[in-house]
Amino acid sequence: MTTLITPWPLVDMVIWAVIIIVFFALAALILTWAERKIAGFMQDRLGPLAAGRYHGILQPVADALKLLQKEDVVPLRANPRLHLAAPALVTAGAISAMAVIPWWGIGPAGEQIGVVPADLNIGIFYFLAISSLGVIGILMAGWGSANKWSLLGAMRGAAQIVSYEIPVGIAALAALVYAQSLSTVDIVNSQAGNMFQWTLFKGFPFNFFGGAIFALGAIAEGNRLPFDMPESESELVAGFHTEYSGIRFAMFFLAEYGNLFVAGLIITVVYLGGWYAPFPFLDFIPGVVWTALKMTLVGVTIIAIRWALPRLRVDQLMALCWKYMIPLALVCLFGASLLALIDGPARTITGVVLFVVLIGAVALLGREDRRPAPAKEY
Amino acid sequence: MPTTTTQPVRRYFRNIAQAVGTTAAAFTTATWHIFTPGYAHQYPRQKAELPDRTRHRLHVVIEDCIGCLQCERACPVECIKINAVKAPKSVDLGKASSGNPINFWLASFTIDMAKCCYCGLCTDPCPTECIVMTPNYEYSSYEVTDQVFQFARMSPEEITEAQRLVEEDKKKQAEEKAKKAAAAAAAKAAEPKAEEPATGATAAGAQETGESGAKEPEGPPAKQGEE
Repeated sequence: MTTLITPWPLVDMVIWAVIIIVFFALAALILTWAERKIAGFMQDRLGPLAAGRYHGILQPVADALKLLQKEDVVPLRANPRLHLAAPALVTAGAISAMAVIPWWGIGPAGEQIGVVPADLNIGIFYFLAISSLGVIGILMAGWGSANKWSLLGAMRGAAQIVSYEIPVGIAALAALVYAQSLSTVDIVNSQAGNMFQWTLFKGFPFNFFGGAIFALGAIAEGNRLPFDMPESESELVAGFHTEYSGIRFAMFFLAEYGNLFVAGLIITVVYLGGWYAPFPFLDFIPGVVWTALKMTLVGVTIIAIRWALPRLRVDQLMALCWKYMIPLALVCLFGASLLALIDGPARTITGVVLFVVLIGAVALLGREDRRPAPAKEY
Repeated sequence: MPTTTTQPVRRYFRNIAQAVGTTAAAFTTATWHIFTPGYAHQYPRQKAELPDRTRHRLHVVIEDCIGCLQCERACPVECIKINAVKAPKSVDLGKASSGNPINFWLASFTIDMAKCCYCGLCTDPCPTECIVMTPNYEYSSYEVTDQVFQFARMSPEEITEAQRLVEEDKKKQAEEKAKKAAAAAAAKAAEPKAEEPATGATAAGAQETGESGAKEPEGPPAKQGEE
């Protein structure tokens, strides 16, 4: 699927890697600016205005320059190896996940275009595995800093990210039932046609809720508010990166926004039809643009969620994952798998009926107990 | 007191519904503000229009200051420090623009704006209206000592000149006093009981009106009615 740029595959690999890294850094810079602008607008401010001529467009560049000039301090009691390696690992995890993102695999006429860095046959599996590499980096940062806040943040982060792997994985399985492949290119290909062929609307309504669970899990795995446990500024100073300054802090920052970017991309690929236009008459717009547009939409929504909602408590976070998202993801997987056996318009009708029946059963199960409450003993 | 208990299953789904509902409400409320105009002023570029008579940095038109110290006494935080020295009568320091004669040298006049509480009480008693609150609020500084504004300061030459004038005046006054004393002594020697009958005549009235009466023995009788 991947088109070779040069006749030599190894050189090709290096070129793709450079493109991805540059693009990743660029996207992270733009997203920091977007985040600050959106935060400003949502709080009835204007956000950065001074740097650059138009609306502080050069603010991220100024921030990056400032961070690069700062002293890189390693605390005296810190474990220097862990402390120095952690930011690199976190960033590497986020960048590596981009390798399997297909930007534009197949053109409108069915021709192969292949703006795909790597078309692995285990694409989505690779993505889920490599994107949780960041946990090790966070743990290393927390442990290596010799700081109580850092350690607490890292432990919370590890618990959170490992927990949220599960609903994300199950929701992704429910989507994969329709793609019948782990390859990201095949997943997008199975959503060809108009927007009602997207996974979000396949096996309706189960994959719809599956998509919501996947998106929530992706936010949680990217350590973004409202699931901001490892960093939790209000409780843990700055969480796992309390002791970092200068370029290493910049790398954590890069990874955070890179994760946002990657989350937007993977949601686009798995649920929103990747490079396909919502309607066939819009096919003249290149697929890369559609991928970028959908990514932007998801990214902006995630940013808006951050500035609209307060942070969850640790126990609420865990309860949300284990008590609510995992069971619901299992229901989604069950329903989606069942509906995959049916073809045509009967599928959606069956899906809605099945959903209503499930809700009805739940309502019957959970009807109010009219017996008087037992007297409380204190 | 609730008479029924809620089934756990029902509570579970009610929780989900509540979470989704409140989250959606918060999200729409907050996101709507993306499309509403902001309220923040872009300060250095766009300055807020201040109302009339806003009270910011103090200014003293030092040419009009007569050194009466009324502002210093009015200040509740003691941020005004004036060192005024009475000039001898022989020295003419001119008049303020309001017509009040200036009788003091201002050795120094400082206002510590870091202490100032912007109450404006100092501007009220000023007889020449030389101390005013201006609308200038942009005077932050890196050192807190830079917030002490100096409005008057005499140079060493001026001080020595003033000292010379004061000394001269003292000398002159001492001479005059000596002259007067000599004259008085001479006069006393000449007619020792010149004023006695006059004071003795109103002695009864002075007792009734008290101190003020004692100072002005020929005061009008209306004063008795006031007391």
